[in-house]
Amino acid sequence: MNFIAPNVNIISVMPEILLLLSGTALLFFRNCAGQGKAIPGIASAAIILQGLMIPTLWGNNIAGFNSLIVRDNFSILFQTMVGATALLAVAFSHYYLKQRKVSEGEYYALILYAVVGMNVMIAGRDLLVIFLGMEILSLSLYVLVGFFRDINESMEATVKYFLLGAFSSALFLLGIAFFFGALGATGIDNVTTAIEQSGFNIMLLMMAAALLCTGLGFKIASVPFHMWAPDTYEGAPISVASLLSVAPKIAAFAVLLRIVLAVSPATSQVTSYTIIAMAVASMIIGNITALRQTGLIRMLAYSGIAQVGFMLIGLLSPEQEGGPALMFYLSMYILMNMGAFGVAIVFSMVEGKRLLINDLSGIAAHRPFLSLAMSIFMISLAGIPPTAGFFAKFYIFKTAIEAGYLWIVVVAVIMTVVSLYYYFRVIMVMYMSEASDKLSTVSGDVTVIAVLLGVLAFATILFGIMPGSIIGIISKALAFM
Amino acid sequence: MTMSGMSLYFLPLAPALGVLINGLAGKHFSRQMIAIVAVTAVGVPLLIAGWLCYQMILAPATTKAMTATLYQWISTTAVSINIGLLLDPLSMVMVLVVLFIGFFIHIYSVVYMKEDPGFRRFFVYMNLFIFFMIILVMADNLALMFVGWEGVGLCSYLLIGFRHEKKSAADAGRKAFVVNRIGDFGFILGILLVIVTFHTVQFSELSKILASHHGISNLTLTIAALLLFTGAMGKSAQFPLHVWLPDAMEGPTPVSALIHAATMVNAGVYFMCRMAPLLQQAPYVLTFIAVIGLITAVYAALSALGQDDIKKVLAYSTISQIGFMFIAVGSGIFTAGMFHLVTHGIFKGLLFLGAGAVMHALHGELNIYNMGDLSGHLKIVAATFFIGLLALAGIFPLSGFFSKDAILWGAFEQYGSWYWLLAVVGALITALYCGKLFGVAFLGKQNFSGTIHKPDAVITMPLAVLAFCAVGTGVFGLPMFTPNTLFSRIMGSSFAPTEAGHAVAVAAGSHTLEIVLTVAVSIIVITVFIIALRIFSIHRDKAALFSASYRKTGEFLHAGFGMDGLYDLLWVRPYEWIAQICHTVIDRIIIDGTVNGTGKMANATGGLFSALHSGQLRYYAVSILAGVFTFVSVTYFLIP
Amino acid sequence: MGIYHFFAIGIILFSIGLIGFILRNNVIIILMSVELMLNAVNLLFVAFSRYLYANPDGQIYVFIIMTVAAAEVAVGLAIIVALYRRFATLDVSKINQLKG
Repeated sequence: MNFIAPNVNIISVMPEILLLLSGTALLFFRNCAGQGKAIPGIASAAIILQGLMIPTLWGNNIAGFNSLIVRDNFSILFQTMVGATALLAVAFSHYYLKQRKVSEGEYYALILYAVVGMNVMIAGRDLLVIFLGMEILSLSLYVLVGFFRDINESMEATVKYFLLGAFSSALFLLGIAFFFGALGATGIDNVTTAIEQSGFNIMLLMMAAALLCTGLGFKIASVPFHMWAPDTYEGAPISVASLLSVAPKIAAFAVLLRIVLAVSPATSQVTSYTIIAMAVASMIIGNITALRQTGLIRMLAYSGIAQVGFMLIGLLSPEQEGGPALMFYLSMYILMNMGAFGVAIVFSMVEGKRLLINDLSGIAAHRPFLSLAMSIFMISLAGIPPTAGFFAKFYIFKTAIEAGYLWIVVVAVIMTVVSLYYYFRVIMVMYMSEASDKLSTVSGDVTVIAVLLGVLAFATILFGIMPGSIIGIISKALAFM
Repeated sequence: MTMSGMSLYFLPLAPALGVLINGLAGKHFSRQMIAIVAVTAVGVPLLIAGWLCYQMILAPATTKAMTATLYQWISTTAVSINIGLLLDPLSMVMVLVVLFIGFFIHIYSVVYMKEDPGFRRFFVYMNLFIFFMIILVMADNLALMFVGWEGVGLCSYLLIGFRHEKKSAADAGRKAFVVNRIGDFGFILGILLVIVTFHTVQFSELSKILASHHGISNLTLTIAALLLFTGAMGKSAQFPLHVWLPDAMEGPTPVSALIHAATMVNAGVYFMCRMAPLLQQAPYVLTFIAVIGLITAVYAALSALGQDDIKKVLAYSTISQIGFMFIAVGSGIFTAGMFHLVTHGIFKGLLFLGAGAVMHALHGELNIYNMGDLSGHLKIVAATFFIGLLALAGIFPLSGFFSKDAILWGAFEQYGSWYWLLAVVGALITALYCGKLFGVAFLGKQNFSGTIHKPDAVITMPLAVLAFCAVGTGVFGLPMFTPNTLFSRIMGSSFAPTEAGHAVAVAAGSHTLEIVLTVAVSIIVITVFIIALRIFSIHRDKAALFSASYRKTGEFLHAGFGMDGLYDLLWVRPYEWIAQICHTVIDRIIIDGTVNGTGKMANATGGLFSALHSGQLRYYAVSILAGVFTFVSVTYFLIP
Repeated sequence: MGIYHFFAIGIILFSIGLIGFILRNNVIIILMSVELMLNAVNLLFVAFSRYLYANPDGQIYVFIIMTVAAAEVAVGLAIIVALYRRFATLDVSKINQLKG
């Protein structure tokens, strides 16, 4: 038997190696006095460094591990998005943990590991590699969600997230097994040739597509796989919730986009039915349930579910403009959702665990800049011009109409209109209600986080006014389509 | 780029600067400084707009439209959208209305809001409103117009709820919000449909496509036009989406004057005029608009008759007058609609500011039956208010007469005598409530105990200016009975392709009938106005208190005012009764019920979903499993 | 003995895992149910690899999946220990403060 040494090409995973090494180094820092800023500093440096490495690979299509991992422009763009999100999460975490007098290296190490997992998911060209990436991500997140072991909500959140995550992983794995059974391979690049070569069982492949959508549907928290999200976001440390609400969605959407593109020639009916069902159900249930929420984080969780519903519409016409529209939506979603969570972190510094929307009443008088930033994020999430969220929605709706899904757009527009109510309620409470004393004593040094939020808010407006540059980058990244 | 092209940018820029300066640094300013910044931010663009208008009038007909494109906003394969401004005669008129009325309302507000703790916030919102309104008006494409459209909606929402300590104010803000969303829904879908159909949202290109042999089906055009009209209905408070406007009177009075009378609520009319080429080609849509306009005009006038609150009377009157504008749009006489928009903006702004002055003088009293004989105390306010009401009632030779007459005659030509008659009934009821309002509040005996503040000069000056304009703008309606009025010459080529046919038809027709009808209507309107004035000034108790009326009617007859009494019994009572039905049954029960019911239903559904979210891990897993099972079984059974 | 037998066994095992996950209250048994599901998938991989394709890939995947499962159990048991310390119970139906 001839053994052919695999073409590892270590360069293809250099950013991940960097992250793993620095993460492991961070594990040795523990609660040492005077290291309050060193730990998040190292973590941010690692993320920034890998973020700098990734663009150098732009346009080179570097492949490693016998092409199990390919860093094409598509994955570079998604990985940059993940890196940016993680960087924001690290910054937020620093403030959140400082407030709780915690400074542990392992917290940041876990964030770095989660980024590794997401990078592997995004760059992976084989379902099993993607599964490995998902597990690296999930295992880190399970621990992060339950990081405060002495808080009941945190433990409850992690248990629910862990058990349901393992459950959905098993379903995803079953999907991989079916995929393998149908095609005799798990690579997603050459599905068309694999279909020709194998004994090809179309039914098995379709079921595989449905199950894979399930596993990824859990990661993006779309209905009916969304039930964990509100509980987990609410129980987790808000800084973790901010990461959780954005980064895994980016990675999972990258995988979904690849899978849909790869298998849709053979199984277009199943994938499109599944995606339509998930999109419509997410928009309706997410938006309508959000109307009733009193907790800010829980409202944001349901809003996230609804936003995912809007994004899923982009997957209906991935070959046309759906892909770019989805990517644009995702990148703008980072700005506005991370921004909203960031404001929630600042506001939660005094209040304690559960932050109610009504706790924000009259905050505008004390914290005008934060309130303005929050208003911009809310307006953007609601999809009102001239913010980035408007154009993101607009672009997605336009592609869907062109692809012939008018009724879905009608539902989406109705649900957008519904969503305005709960997003605007936050603004109304901040600006119009009388000041309550609950949060008026927000204090402490929040300069860096305030600057970050200012940048996010500015970018939200800027990309709403001139989205052209982002779209240009995205269409270059998707040139292979 | 030319000088004038650059100056286009300055029109929206100045109020935006006002927002930034007052919003960011205003904390350290004195009130005087804040006021100076805010007023300047509106005054300077007003001067520029005046200069631009002068240039535009001088310019030859072919180059009347000025455009300025800042950059390409959105560029995709199917459509590209520019951030661009368009100043043609149509938007010029709107810009002047917004800035002119806005300027005087800003001045007025400086004194009116003097004591308010939210002084800075108020002016920031007001400047922001002017900014978005200018964007709405000057946008050269639908998408940018939507930016302004949503922006003014947000400002309106914030300003209605400005006195947030009042629960009713917050509720009113919410209702305005919910109802306007229905309109937005139509607007968004309309824009998307236009993009998919025409692959452009630029107004100039749209009219170019529509003027050519485009081969787009009538059905598509109709749906697009109807969707866009839904947007206009929400913003311009047309039946049945009008319910938010009367409640919006919870906001400070200058806000009611600026946003809910003179500018924002008229945006729907302006928008429809912009879309004139589309409306002309969509079958039945114009008729539909005309019917909605007529229903609103008559219905809201009746509702106005039944109100006791001075601001609510004016609010319903605004709805009714916008109904008249939509009658004009529906009859295809866009110029007349725009002319009425201008005159109405001026005299309704005047009336609201007058009402504000009255409230100010009477310590916040709103009920007209608690006023009376104000003309003795507040001479200037009463005089200007009277001028405003004469214009509103459409009495010769005030501006309202010219604009309303043009609309009525256009409606007669387009839809015939029955339609015209109903519109005239609307005009008569307008005269009736105008007379009633002045009679009850300003004449008769005084029902107000307590001191009356004299308004100072800063309050009366805008009133005087606007009153002068309410009289003077009628000039633009000259010469009468021709399509070639001064105003339509200013409007120039705005509607040239769409109205040309109409103008020829009018020119060919005989003027005799038009003149006879106009004179007849004028005489009836004046009569109704005077009678209403007399009844309500002298015997308003009777007119007000339905239950106690019979005994009093006896006294009334005994006192020798038999004719008035009979008139009272035969005319006023049934009207008031109908007005009550309109207000209580249709508005409060049916439409409010539907709006609130929808809200409640959504809320209850949300509650159901929340209840399903029980916290039990088991159900979460079941939910996942249900999803998987559905997808897999659909795959297995439904797909061959 | 052919592919169908193994396929059926695999699906049955997976379903037992599913049902166990939903019906049982004890966190540890729920975790075991998940492991059962993973092992059912392993069986499917081996069966597909052996009977459908002359391709050893599937059998190698099993090792990878077993590794992942081990990691998952390690994290899971740690979470369960912390959970027990906090709530003094392993009954998930009693852990439902977060809801709505």
